[in-house]
Amino acid sequence: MNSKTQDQIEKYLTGALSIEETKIFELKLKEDFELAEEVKLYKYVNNGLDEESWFDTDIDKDNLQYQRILNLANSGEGQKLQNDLLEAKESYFTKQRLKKQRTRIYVAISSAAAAVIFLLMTTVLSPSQSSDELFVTHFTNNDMPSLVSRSSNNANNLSKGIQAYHNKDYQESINYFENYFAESNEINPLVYSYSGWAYAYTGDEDQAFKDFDKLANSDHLDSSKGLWFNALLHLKLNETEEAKSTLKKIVVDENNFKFAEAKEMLADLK
Amino acid sequence: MHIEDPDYLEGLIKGDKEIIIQIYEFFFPKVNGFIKSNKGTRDDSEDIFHNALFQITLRYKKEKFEINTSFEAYLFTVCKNLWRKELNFSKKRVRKNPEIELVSIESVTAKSILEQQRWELFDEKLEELSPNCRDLLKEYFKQKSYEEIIENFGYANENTAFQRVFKCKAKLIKLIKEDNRFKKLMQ
Repeated sequence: MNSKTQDQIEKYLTGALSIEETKIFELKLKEDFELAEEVKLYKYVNNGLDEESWFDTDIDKDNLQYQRILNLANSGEGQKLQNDLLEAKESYFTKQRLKKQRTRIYVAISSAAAAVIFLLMTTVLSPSQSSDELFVTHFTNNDMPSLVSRSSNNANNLSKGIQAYHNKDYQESINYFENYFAESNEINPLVYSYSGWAYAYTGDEDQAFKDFDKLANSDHLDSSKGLWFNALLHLKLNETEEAKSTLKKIVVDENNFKFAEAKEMLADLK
Repeated sequence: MHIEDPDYLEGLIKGDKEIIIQIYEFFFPKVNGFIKSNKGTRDDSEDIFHNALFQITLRYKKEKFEINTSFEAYLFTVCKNLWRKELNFSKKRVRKNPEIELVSIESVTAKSILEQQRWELFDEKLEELSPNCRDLLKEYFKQKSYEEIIENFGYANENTAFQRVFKCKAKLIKLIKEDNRFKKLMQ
């Protein structure tokens, strides 16, 4: 590649060519494979180092390396890696939240009179508060699965349903999920995580439990998330005994989602 | 007290929960500080930190690699690059398409591993250039205007600056093309 051509590439990519010169250059690009490859390389380097366009990469989906990494990420091994990381993350942030709560309680106790302490002890430690607190501490949207969108009408139902869920339009999200379930040949069981919570937030807890059960009874790698959500919903409803019964199912297998947290919660609920 | 660096990577790869929690304890606050001072929120920090750990683990599982700096410095660079990408992506999303695109963390991570590898290769090759070329291209890629480049490097005019940038970039591209890792990345 001579320096005149390189100069032209640089000018073309920085918009320094005139309209007429750009047209001629683009015609050349269509005919000259070597030139097209060189332009691709220049773009690749520009995008790789340019802070403004760094994300806008030319890595295409057929790239062999990309495919290999993606296959690994989607494999059982990849999913386990992700679950291990998520569990550690949750443990860390749960500890942080509890630490903060404890600090707040200590401050309150040290500055209150004996009568107020008594009041605090009786309200904070009452069983109903305790379950609700556990729900608030442990429920996080980070546990909701990330789902792949593929170009079909039904994928659209799914993506709009999830979007509506995150916008807290739970009834609307239920409508999309129902369409998704009706039109799917093969339902992704993880979608029941979203539909279950959407039902729970609209007050249809029976349907919510049914959806979490469907997830728990599926053969998906993350099926135990269904148990976890079931336990959390019971806690939200102050149904401590039912929550304990589900948590006991989680702690029978350390590979289950939130195994460690379930153990801690069972101890807290005693 | 921090444990020795090699143990962080090893513990992370093995999925050792205690080590991963230590990684959060020691390094998350710094990343959180960086992201929050660069238009991010606490939730953003949590996502970026998790994605960075997933990226490092997955990359290592696919092909072992060595960290030439400390684990902390490497993790921070990965987080910074992921956040830079997210900021740029958000800007474009707001400008062109406000709808949220639904993509899996797996495909985002696969792509970001290749981008990180590419960034490391380019950064290494940039260091192999002459000091003048290296400094010039760093300014150029930071989106500095030619006026600023002329002033900082003492060039006579914009044309001279353009020619100099052009020659340095050609040298960089030659170095990159000659490296086998580049061919592999482009497969």
